[in-house]
Amino acid sequence: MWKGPRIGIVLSGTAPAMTLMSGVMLAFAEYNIEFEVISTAGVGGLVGMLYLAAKDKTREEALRALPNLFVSDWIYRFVPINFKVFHKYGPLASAYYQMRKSLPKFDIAPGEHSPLKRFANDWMDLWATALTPPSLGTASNALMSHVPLIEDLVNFNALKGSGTRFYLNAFSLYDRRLKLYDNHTVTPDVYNGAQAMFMLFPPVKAGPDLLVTGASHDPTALQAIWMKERDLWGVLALEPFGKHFWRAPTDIYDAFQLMLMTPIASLQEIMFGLYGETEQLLSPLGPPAPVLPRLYMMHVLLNPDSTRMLNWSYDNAVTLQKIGYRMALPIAQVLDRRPDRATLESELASYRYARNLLETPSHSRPRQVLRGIFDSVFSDFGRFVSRINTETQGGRIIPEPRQDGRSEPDPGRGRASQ
Amino acid sequence: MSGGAPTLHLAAGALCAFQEKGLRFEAVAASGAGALPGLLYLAPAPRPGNLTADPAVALKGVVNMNIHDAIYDLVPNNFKVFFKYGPFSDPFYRLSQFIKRVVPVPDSYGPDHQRLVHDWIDFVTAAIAPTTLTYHSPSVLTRVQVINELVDWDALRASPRDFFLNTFNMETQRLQAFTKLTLTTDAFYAALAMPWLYPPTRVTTGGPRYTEGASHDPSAIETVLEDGTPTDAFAKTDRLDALLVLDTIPPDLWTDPQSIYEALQLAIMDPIVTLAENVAAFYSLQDMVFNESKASIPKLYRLPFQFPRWEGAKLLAWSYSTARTLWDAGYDAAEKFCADLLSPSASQNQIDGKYRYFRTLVRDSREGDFLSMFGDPFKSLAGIVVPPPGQPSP
Repeated sequence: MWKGPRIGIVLSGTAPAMTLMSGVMLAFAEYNIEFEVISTAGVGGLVGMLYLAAKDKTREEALRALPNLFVSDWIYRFVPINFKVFHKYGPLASAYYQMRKSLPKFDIAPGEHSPLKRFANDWMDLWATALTPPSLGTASNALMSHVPLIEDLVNFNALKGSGTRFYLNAFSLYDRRLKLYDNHTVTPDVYNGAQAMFMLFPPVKAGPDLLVTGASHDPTALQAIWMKERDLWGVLALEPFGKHFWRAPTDIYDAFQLMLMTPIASLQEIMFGLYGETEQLLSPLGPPAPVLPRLYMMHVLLNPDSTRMLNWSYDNAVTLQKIGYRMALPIAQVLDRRPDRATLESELASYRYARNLLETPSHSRPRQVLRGIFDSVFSDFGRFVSRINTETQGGRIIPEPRQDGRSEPDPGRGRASQ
Repeated sequence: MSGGAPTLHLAAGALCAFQEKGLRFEAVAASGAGALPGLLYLAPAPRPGNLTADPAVALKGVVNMNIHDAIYDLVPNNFKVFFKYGPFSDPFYRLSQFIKRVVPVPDSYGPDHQRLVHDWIDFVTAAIAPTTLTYHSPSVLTRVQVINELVDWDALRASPRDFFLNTFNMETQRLQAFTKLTLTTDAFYAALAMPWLYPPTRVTTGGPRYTEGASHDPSAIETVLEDGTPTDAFAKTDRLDALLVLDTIPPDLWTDPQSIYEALQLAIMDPIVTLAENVAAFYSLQDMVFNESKASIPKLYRLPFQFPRWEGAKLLAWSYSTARTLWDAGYDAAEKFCADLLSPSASQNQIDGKYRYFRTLVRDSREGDFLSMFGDPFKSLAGIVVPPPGQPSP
C-alpha cells in the first residue's frame, strides 16, 4: 500500500449510473491504486466491493463486466426497465433467478457489443421475468424481491481480509439511525438492506436490525468519513448529480424516477456543499477546531443528455463507463506517481470542491444554501467552529488546552477572509 | 410548515389552536403540503358553513379532504385530492359538485353516514372519469382548480401578515419564494408540482418552469429567511425574532410499510424528512452560536407532536380517521405550546428548554450524527441560556 498522503473515495450515485462509478474505479485499477478507505451508499457498495473483493474475477474483469447487468438496447427500446437487476416481487423470485442462470446463453465478453447475442440472452431473461409468479397486491410492501445476485458477484470473505477499510451505510428502521457497516460486518443481507429503497424493495432483516437504504439519508457516503476517518488527508468523490435530475421528464417512467431522485439529489448537493465548504474553512484552523479530510471532486460531464443518468440500456452503460474512466484517469495518473503531500495538494488543487466546482452554475443550489440561510456560519466560520468545540461550564467557556503549539483560531476567520 | 402529506392536517390543527388562543404570527412560510393550511389561516374564502371566512372554521374543514374509512379501506387512494390525468377530470369533478347540490346530501361536516354518502358520490364520479394517461404523459395526475374555492386571493394580498411558499425554478436551478403579492392560482400549483404527480409548471407564458419546493427545502426555513425578493413585505422578516417549525415526525413515519401504497409514500417522504431535519438541525446550531451574546438571527423553535404508538403505521394514510388523529395531535401540541408560552410563571429558559430546536436534539440520534460533522456541539452547547432579543447574556 502507498505510504503517501492517506486518501479515501466515496461512491454513491444512482443505480443506473453504477457504470459511471465502475469506469472511475477501472481507471484507478489500471494504476493499481489502493485507497485507505472506500465509503459507499446504495449501489456504490457494489462497485466498492467489486474493487476490493470480486468473486472469481480480477477487479478489472468484474468492473468491466458491469454493463452486462444492463439490458439489450433493442429490448430496452420497448421495455425500458432493468429486469436483470430488479426482480419481480414474489415468493419464487429467488428460484426463478436461479433458473434464469441455468438457461443456455451466448457467452459475451463485457466489451463486445454483439447486439444480436445480447438481444437473444436478454429476451430469455425477459420471458423468465414475465413468467415469474407475482404476489403483488396492496398487501405487498414492495415491487421487487431481493435475489442472491450479490453472492454471485462478491467474495465476502475476501472483503474481510482487504487492506482497504470499506463502509456501506444503511438505515435502521428500529434505531431510526444510519448504520455504518464495514469489511467485517457487511453481509449479503446488509447489502440488500442498503439497496432497499422504499417501494422498490422491502426492508431487510439483518441481524438485530431492519434495514432500508442509507442513500436517502446520506447519499454522499461522507458520514463514515467524518465519523470514523477524520485522519485521512483527502477524499475523492464524483460530482453530485442534481442538475441531471432537476429537469422536465421525457415520459411517465422518467417522471417516476425523477420524483424518487429529486429530493435525494437535493440532499446530496447540500451535504456535499456543507462538507466541502466546512473542510476548506477548517483546514487552516488549529484546535479546538476538528479536522476534516479535503474533498476533491471529479467533474461528471454528461451534457447535453441528462437522461443518461436514468437509462438502463447496455449502450448507455458502456458510454457512462467510458465517461467515468476519462474523469478519473488524470487523478489516477497523479496518484500513480506516489507524490508527497505538497505535490499532491498542488496537482489536485483544481479538483478541490469548495474552490472550484461548487462555484460553477451547475451547483447554484448548494451555493444558495451556503450563502443564504447559513451565511452567518460560513462568513464567520472561525467563531462558529471555535464555539461549538469549546466546552462550557455553567455558561462560562472553558478553552481546550493546546498541545500542538499551533496558534489560536482567528474568531473572525471565515469565507469573507478567504 | 414543512412539506409532506401528514403536514396538511398537523398544520391545520396547530394553526387552528393558535388562532383560537390568539397567538399571532408575523409571517407564515410553507413548503408543499403546508401551503393550504397556511393560506386558510391567512385568507380563507367565504363558503357555505363559513360565510364569515373564519380561519378556525376553514382549518377544521381540512380533515374533510380525506376519505371516509369505509371507502378508504377498500380503495386506499385520495380521489378528492388527486385527480386522474386528462381533460375529463375537471368536468367530472364539476359533475360531482352538481350532484351534491341537487341530491339532498348534507355537506361533509355532517355525521359519519352522511360523509360516507358524500365521499361515495366523489368516488363514483372519479372512478368513471376517463383518463388519457399514456406512457408518454408527463405526469399521472391533473389539477382541478379546487384552490380557488378555498382561498380568497384578494384577502391574502391585503393581509397585514406575510406569506411565503417555496418553489424550485428549473431555469435558475435555485429555490424561489412566492410571496402574498406574487402568489396566484398558477403559482400555487407550480409550487406543488412534484415530479410524476404533476408536470413542471409555468406561472407566466414563456416564463420559467417550476417544480415543488418541498423536494429542495422541505423545512421552509430557508423560504422565510431569504430569497432575495426585494419587496416591502419581505423586508419585514428581517425583524423576525423567532421561527417556530412544525415537527417532521420521523420516528412515527419510519416504519416497515404495510402496503405498496404506504411504501410509495415512504419512498417520497424518506429523503424529504431527512433533508428537513438536517437543515433545521444545522440552522439550530447556527442559532445557538450567533445568538449567544445577542440575538442576531431569528431563533428556531420546534413544535413537537405526540401520537399514540399504535397510530405510527397509519400516519401516511389518506383516511378520515388518520386526518382526525393528525389534526388533533396538531391542535393539542399548539394548545400546550400556547399554555406554556402565555403562562405568567414561564421563564425564557423554561420555554427554551422545551421548545428551542437545538435543545430538543440529542447527541445519539440521526441529527446528532449529522451535526458531528462540525465537531461536538452537544458537549459545548449543553445547558446554554440564550437571552431574549436586546438583552445581554446571563
